[in-house]
Amino acid sequence: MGLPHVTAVVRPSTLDEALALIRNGGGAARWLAGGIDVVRRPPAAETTLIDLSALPLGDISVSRDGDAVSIGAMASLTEIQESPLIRELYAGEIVSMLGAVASPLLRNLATLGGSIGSAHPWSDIHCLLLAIGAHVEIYDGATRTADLGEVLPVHSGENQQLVTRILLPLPKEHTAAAFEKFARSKFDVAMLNCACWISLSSGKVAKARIVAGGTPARASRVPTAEKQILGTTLDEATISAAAETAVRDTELREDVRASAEYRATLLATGVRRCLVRARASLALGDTSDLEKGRP
Amino acid sequence: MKVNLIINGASHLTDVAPGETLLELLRREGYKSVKKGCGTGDCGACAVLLNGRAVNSCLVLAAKADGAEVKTLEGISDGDSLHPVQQAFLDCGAVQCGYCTPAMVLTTIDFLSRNPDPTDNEIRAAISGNLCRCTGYEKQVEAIRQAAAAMRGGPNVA
Amino acid sequence: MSRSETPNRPFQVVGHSERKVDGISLITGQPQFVADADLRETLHVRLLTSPQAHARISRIDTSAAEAMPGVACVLTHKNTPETRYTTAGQGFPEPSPYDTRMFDTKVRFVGDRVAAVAAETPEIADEALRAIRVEYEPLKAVLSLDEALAVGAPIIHDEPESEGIYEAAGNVAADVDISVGDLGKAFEESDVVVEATCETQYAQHTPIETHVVWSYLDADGRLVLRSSTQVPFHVRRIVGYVLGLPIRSIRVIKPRIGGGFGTKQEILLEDIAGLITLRTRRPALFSLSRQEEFVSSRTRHPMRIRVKMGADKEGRLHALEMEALSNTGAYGSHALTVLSNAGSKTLPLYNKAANVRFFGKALYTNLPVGGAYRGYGATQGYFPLEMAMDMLAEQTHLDPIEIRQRNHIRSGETSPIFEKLGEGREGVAFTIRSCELERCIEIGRERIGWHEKRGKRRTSGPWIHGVGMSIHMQGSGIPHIDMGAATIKMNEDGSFNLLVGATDLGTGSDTILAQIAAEVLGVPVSHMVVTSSDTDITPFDVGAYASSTTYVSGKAVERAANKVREQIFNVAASMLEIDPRTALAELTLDRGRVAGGKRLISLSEVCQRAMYSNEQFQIGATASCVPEESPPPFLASFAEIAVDRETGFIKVLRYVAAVDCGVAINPKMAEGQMEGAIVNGIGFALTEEMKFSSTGRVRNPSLFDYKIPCAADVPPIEVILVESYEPTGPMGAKSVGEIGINAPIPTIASALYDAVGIRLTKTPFTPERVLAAMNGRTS
Repeated sequence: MGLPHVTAVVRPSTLDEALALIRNGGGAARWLAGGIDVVRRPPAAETTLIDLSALPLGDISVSRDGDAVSIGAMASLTEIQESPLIRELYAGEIVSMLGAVASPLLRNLATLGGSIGSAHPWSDIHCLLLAIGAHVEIYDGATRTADLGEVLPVHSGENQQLVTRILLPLPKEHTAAAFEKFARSKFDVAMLNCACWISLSSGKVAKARIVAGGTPARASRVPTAEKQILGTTLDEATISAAAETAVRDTELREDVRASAEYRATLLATGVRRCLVRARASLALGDTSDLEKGRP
Repeated sequence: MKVNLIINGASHLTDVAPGETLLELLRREGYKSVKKGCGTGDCGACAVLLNGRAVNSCLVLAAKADGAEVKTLEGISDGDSLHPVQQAFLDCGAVQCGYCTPAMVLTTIDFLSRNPDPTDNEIRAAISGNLCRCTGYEKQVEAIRQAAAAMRGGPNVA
Repeated sequence: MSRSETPNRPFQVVGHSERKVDGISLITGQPQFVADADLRETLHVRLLTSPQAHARISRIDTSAAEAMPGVACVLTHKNTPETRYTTAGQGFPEPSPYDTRMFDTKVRFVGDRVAAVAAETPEIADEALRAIRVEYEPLKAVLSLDEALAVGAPIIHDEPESEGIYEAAGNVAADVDISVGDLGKAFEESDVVVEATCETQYAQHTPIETHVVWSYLDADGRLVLRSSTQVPFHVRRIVGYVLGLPIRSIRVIKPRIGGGFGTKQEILLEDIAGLITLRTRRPALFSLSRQEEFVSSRTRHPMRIRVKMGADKEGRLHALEMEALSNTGAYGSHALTVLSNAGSKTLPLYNKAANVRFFGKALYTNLPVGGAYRGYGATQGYFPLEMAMDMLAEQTHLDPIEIRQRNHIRSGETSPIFEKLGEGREGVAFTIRSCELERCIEIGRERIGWHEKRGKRRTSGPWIHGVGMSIHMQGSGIPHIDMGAATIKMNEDGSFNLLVGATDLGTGSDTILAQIAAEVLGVPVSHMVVTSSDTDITPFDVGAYASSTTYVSGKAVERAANKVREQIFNVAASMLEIDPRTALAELTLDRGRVAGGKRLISLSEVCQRAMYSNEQFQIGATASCVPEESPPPFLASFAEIAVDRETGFIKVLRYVAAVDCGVAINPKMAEGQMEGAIVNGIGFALTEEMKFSSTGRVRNPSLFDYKIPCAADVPPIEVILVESYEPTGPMGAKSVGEIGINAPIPTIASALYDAVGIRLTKTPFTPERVLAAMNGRTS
């Protein structure tokens, strides 16, 4: 029936119970969050699934120090989209990214923790969250904060980590983020995605993150492109140069969705569009060429 | 293992294999309106309402749904009278082969409960997880628009 | 939609968008599909398929699988018939090669049948498949049209037992060559000559319900096949032939099915399920997984087609040549007929060319098998035909609409192609009796805003806009070959049973056939109880293909209804004490009653008398129809698109389709056919493409990786029914099921040229191809 190698499904009610189960299970236990990836990539050997839905990980709130929005790892993508706290973040960029991730049916089931843990290389979520500097909380007996990059893919075998919350930094003044996704159809996974996050100081770029994903490798930053825009006002020439640098310094390959060469075009276009949009958000300089143009 | 599901308002206590999906369980229990189109959550034909939200039942492990409320198309019409969404689909000619229809109706019911006055673009996005090869979606969008109006205006909101 | 009028009186039922007769059962989710049956005691069948594109099976050992507890039956070439047949669901004798064995000693594509297992559960069956040991002796594979054409290419069908292959040594499954006039001379005489060569890709129908059959022995030991099929009678015949069973021992029933689009015009599962049931005496359920549906069922034939046109300075065609190369995959089902239709359903549209040639070949390759797919060759043919027409327009400085108006066929005209190019044999000459293409063009051009938009290249941000158009014809059934029949019998409440072999795939044929009968007999549709597609009960019908149901099966229904009408009048005449010889002229049927002068009798009174009281007989009749002609529906298709100049993405903003299908029996359903066909065509034009590895394996056999349009991917499709009256059709109707799918490729290609000045000759028009062409690189 269904997944033949699943031998048990257990539902712990505390974090410590969950941790004990995964540790005692050795390699034969796996997290079950929304469940999408478990069904699409079913276990090949006898496995116990640890159902996380009874853990107190579903809420969305402002973090204790007021610096971030704290999202429980088991919150569904739909719930996150509908949350008033998320709607306004980064001028709606997070909500609009989520709206293009996958169909509403999948968004109702998929959890943020599961999405990050499944480590799909085309992940739109990972791309934008990396750009805005999201952190996670990991529970291993005690809670600690870690970078997004420290989250291990659940199927890597080294999967005993329990991500409990995702922290989205609340944008400070003079910061903006933008995200672009290129896909063959409305809800296809990205042929390529990219995101940027800009923070200004005295009208110039003080901090920046530029991220390319679905290359087809997982999203990662392009430090050389980031460096290139520091200290600038994101003028046309700088943006073009940064786009070219991103292409030059990102490894792009072919798969069923796109060739490497075409990905290069998409990356250049995407980085440019992201930076232009970020600049518009920040009301930097001349905005006359910013019309994105909805056909 | 045993799971307890409330299917269309009635409690079902059943034996399930740990790896069994909700789709398999529902069809096994006689809810044949829930269709298999791909088994991997790509076509949406298996969608049911799980605690009120439309989800691909082929992606839900039955064990994970323990204690949940499930609604299938069998539980939608009230005796002889159709739900406004069903009525609109019928009136607008939005059903051709009917294979994607049960899931489409349930997805619509979930959608309209949260967005009772949608634009056409919002309607299209809402049913984008329900693939149809027969209709071109045209009359389905029309039916959903009509159902939304009926549900906003009529006294018998289901 | 408007109601139509016959010379006598306005329609009561026909021409109205009556609700589907199966609507309630579908909208309430009644268990009416094949796999909804009670599956207790049913064995589950799973298929072992080949990992090799071309290989001999040197050894196959099923002993471990057979010994497994829960395994009831294992089939391989060692224990199944050696009979060669075609899987193509066509009329007998099928115009497709008999090149298929149930299980062969050779595999010819990745996904080809190797073995089948029937077991108590699907899981046991899967385990048993894994226990089957197969040794292959790989052969060099042919993985493209060019490789198939190359000298010294390996012979895919080297077995002497196959029949009907045009030239096996050259991997040529089929060959066609017809011409009228002298093409060489005609091109020389032409002022302008243009040529376009286009290529279409591997695509799959992706019905949401995959192929499935449930087989069992009934109480009398007869084999019953409850199948998701478009061709129940062909299934019966071909399964009988392959398994060596007399036809009378087999019953095929088509219940509700989840779409077909041509892929179910094929005998793909029923032979295996049937044989398993015969050997085990148990019911068997055999369904294809989605991956198997992509790889191991049927696909659209990829084609490379060249069209050359010669015209005078005014753009009037003088010479028209089409050369088609079709990739039929590993087996030749539908190879000849799809190839032929690339020309037969396209070239007559431009009948002004006095010199016409169509020639081409269908080649075997070690790739998935092409079969019937809505449009059936015409979809591929219209791509270069309409492109050449656009090129001709440019060369003669005419608007694309103008040049088509100078060349397209009209009512009262004919084309030599009708006679020259049939389906595997000579065609049939006929004259067009109904054609509103001119009005379709006028209505469509205005609705899309052709004049305001063409050539303007409006921009918004990175988007550049364009409009495009194309025109089309198809056919309605296959003249002299297709046959449909209907039986009507009366019940004593004034209702009727309508029994038709015709196959409703969700297309609504049950409903429109009921409407036709109800119209003749003066009753509401609810008084016409339809039973369809059961080979024991319903009379013969070729099945749902070739856009035949409305025109052919509908005519049979009309004839049967007229016979019943006459019988009713005879009974009524004796009740009313009228001379029966004048009855037909004096009586009418209206709203369930016979009216004669001032007197009315209800139909139920008539039937009660005939059933119980006086000179009793069963009021009922059977009638058939073999069409003499194939009156084409006509379509003028228009679209507005926007192209992102930075990424090459195409967005279809508006789609307008003005179609003449004669009298629309059920307007909403006719629109529904058009809307669905067009959206399918948009997918074929923009995103759908099966991709292959270097060893012939399909890389994207899933709906995750092979993208068909979802609701947000397409704009509203504006269908305008432009009615004509087809005198040979039932109530003036023609068919409409296929024509829409042929339009999006050429229409979008035309719009692309308007927007960014490129002519893309390969589908799908992916953003990558568009961008490469815009940047001047070859795509």
